[in-house]
Amino acid sequence: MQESNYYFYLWRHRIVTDSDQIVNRTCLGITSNPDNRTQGYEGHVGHVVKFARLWTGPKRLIQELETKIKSDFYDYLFVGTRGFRYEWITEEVEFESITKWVEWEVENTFIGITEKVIL
Amino acid sequence: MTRTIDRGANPFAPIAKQRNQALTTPINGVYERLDDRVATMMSDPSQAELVNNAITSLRERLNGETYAQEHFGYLALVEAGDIDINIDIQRDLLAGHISKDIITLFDPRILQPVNVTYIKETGRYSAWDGQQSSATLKLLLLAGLVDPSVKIQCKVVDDDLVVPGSDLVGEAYGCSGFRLLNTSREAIDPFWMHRSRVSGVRNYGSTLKEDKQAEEIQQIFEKNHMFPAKASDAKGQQAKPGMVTYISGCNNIAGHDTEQDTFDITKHDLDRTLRWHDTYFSNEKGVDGGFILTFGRLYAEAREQGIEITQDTEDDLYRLFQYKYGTPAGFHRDCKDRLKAFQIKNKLKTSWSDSCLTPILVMDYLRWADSENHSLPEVNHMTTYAGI
Repeated sequence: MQESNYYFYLWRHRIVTDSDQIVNRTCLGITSNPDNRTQGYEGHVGHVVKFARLWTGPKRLIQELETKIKSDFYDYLFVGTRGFRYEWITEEVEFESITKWVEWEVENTFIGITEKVIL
Repeated sequence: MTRTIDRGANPFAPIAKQRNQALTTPINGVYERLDDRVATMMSDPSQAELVNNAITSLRERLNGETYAQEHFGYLALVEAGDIDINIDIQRDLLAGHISKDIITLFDPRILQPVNVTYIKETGRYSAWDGQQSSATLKLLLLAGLVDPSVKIQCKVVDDDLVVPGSDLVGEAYGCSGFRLLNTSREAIDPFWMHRSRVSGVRNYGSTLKEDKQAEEIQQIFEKNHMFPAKASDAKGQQAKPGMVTYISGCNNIAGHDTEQDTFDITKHDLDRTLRWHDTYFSNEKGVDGGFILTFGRLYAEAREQGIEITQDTEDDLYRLFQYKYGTPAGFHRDCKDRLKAFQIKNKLKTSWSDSCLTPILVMDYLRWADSENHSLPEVNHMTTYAGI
């Protein structure tokens, strides 16, 4: 059975909080169609969205990479008003630390995944 | 080109060692006062809330009354001939249960008192719980293994006793009690059984086969830098590297409680399974249960078919995981998804069966690997899942 490719993305977003603080948070997620996903975000935020980093690979590996990053960064996921943890890593973790974590996992654990250059 | 994979030492080994040391040798000793035990539980707000809600409900039911000593009945030694079994309340006598679970392991200190209602009109005792135990004692009396003067320990409640908060009197409370006693016990997580068995050997010199084999399984955990834990310890994001909660699966793979000659062979299947995990996935949070079954059955099949799974093949299996599943838990989830898709495609009822795990691994390996020199065994159910 031929598996369709999936994508794992990181998106950096600068947010003005309700208390007027400006913070940089990292959004993560998986999709079968990165273009549609960026359009979805654009509809929410009202400006052009470009993912910071994008990786592709078999659906299972991409799903497991997402599971692992959410598990390892669990304490740093943004928690909303009803206690739900969203796929946003808070400003406590620098973007570079997150990308290094992904790079290591792709190199050592999920070697069927490759990075896709974003044009 | 070398095929060897060197993952280095397990950085989580010291944590597993600490957890294993604490398993049967608590830091503060084995005794804790009842007062302190209760106080500790009630110091946790969520647990205290549960208990306090239940107490409030009971208080309402008691409607201002309280229980006195007499409401709990009394303990008595009763002649076997004075006991009747209320067969309207109790289930059948179970010869298999009496033979295997009670007589084989019989120890008079462990025999539970029988719950009886004293019928004042007839002067006889009606047993509503403890039928298997009292029947066992009768059988041992008949066999001459118990002195004829021995009486049966009973918890007795007179048939006219009325207690606060209940309108059940006489046999009616026994009828209700039969159901309560047989359904209200929380199932014991296999972790506690394992710990008890290991403790039996390490702390109390037990020579029981089931205890000694569990202690050997514990040694296998320790050797592979793992530690047993309750299933609830791994809930949410709490699983830790080396944590094994699928104790029943480990027992199954190791052949726990089989004849010692058999166990001495099958325990190596568990050892090899856990060693593979320790070698390649020591940083995984928890040891996945599906993985334990998959590899345990793989090593068992290989052993039974005289096929050696070499170091090279084990390295290849690791590469397969890297390319296809990512992690042992990823492999387990992949099998679940694929079985469901397979069942839908073939118009079958969708239901999970762990029988598919090892066949899927072997089929994936054979498709993926340069398997000319590294064979895996043909495993059960491979034809069932062909094309999955």
